[in-house]
Amino acid sequence: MPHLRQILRPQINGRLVPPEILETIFQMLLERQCLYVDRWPREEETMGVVTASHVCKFWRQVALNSPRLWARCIFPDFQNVVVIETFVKRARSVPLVVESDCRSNTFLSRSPSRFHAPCWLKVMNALRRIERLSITFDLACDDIRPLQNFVLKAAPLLHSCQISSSTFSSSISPAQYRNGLAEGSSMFDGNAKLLRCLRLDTSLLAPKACFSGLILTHLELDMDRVSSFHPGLCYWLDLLQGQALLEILKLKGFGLEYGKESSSVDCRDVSLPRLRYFNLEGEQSDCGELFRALTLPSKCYTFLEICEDETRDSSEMDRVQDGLRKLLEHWDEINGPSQTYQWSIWTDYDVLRFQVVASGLSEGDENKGVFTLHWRHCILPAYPFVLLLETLGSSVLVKRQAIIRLAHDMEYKQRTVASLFRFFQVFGPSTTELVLSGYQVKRLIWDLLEYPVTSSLDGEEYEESTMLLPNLKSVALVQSFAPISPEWDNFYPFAHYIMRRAERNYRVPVVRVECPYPDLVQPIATYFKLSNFTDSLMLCRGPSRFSEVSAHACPRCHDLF
Amino acid sequence: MVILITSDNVKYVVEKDVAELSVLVKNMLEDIGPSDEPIPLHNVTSTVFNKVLEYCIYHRNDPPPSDDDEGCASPLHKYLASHICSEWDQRFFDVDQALLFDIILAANYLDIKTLLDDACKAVAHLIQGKSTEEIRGIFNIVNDFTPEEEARVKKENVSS
Repeated sequence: MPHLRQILRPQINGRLVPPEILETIFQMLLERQCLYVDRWPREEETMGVVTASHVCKFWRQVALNSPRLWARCIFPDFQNVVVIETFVKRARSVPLVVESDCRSNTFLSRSPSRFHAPCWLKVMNALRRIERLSITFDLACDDIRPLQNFVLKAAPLLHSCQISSSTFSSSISPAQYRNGLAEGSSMFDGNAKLLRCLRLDTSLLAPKACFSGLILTHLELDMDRVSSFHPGLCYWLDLLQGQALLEILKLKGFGLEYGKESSSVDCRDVSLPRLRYFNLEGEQSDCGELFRALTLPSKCYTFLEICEDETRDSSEMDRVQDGLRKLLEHWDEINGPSQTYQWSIWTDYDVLRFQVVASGLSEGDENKGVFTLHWRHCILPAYPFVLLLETLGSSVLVKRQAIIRLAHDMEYKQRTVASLFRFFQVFGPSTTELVLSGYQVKRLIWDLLEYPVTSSLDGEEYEESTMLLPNLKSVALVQSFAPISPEWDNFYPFAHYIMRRAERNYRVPVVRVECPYPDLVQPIATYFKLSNFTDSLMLCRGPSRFSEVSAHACPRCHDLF
Repeated sequence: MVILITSDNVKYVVEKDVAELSVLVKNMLEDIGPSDEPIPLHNVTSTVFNKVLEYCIYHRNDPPPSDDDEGCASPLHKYLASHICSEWDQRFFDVDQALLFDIILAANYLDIKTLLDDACKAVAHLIQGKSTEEIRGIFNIVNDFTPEEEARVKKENVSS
């Protein structure tokens, strides 16, 4: 009989295709990314599976015998109740995957009662069978009260849960989504033992929602302003103390509740020993409050995106400073005095970026820790940011071997910017490599050459110019300049910098210019006789990757950070 | 180096790390131990093996595939491996359907998971967005449903 079945099996272009391969092909119809760039909307991916099951008896038999296939085909926004019931039945005992993205075209004419629809009720009642849940809703349109109740039900098979908002509307009042749930309600009724990846918009959470009973490795909370979920520091420290296995922590729009709790001092140190990615985004003092309370592992990628609150005292940046000082001391303790650190500052249109990376000199060396700070909306002079850098001058890390990267693109507020870069005077002899980039970098080059330092003689203070970074082994100018580009202006002060250093006996052995057109740089370098002022002049194609160290992925939801 | 012989008796001398991307070949090498004996690949012709070899050489340094979360590849590598296909891959699978299915069958026989998955993705792309009739036309499949059966299955409409 098996032989007979083999003969009767239809051929694909004259080839017998084993059922397991056909099943794999069907599975690939549901892959988030197909081989080609043009991705299909989710509803059409499901249609592909259904259509394939209508091709012939053999294809249908293979499809119906693949419960895993149907377990991934539940899309309540465009399926009717009968279809959902059928697919759930075909999935047999396989845990379900439920996805819904309100950004899809299907949602152009949806009603606000989306989550009250019978299909959604069906799905919500099947929460005990769901393994992976991914829902995007529109806070401005969707009535999300059913979802608020949803996340309070037991979900014993749930591994990964993402329920996020796609829009933010300032016209929504907090009262509209105050869910009436009791303060401290338990997430998933405390019964989601397999849940590791949780990404939620906090409009779904009860005030001071309880996370006990959950063992998470990835927690991401988006605290929109309409949410009633803005607990105090004690709550956050309790929550994080209970999640010692966290590997990825992302808190967006972070803000603390101001009231009786915030006034009480919580001096706890909370350790997250397995954390490898930490992203905290919000107002400076609140972020600083949490940041300084955490003890992060030395290999963690820490990324603070903070904006200044004009209504509050800018000196509150000292909380971030405390946290950063603690982090860097920890790095030095773990990595030892022979560790090299890469220090970077970028200026952009409305963002100042600072980064320190514990890493080796060569490209492939493993990063032993990254701290990145983005300071947004720099409408006011960024004095707190400058202050933060200045306090780092006393850090033991600046005495270690250093690579400095300066990228300057901000065209205005030159005085503020100049004060930012002044930070690098503290490095002195420990710096061996300097990389310069950005449209406006020429302004920094003059500072590097003629930096005024205050000295005193016989009790009288006077200014003298000094050569910063005297022990450089390598200097690079990384530019994306095209033949007709204002960036060419950067080359002349750069060449001047190399020559003047050599004349003052601070010769740099290796000089590199990286740009897309090194052939065009050659005649200018020859004109300046630049090779006479260094041991090795390299004009290479580039620019090289002068970007922030990043790229972490959650193994469960596969999102990349 | 490893010597492989295809079903049409064409001999290939292949570097060991490339040959071992095939679990079948890897297991055979482990079974026979150090030897100069050629390994026969009964179910693969040289035309198809040329493509398989091209794929294996290009992907020889890729991190090994892993189904579990704790595999040897980093989460980033796994992410990239599962989500991103290079232009090279797209060009590689831009072949006629007969050869594409031959590559699938060869990958299945040689047990090269990444090649099998990528080739199945390429076939899935041919199916996606097509009607039942178009799929039958593309793959030369005969409709063996009776009109009554076909009417019944077509009632299965996913849209609400």
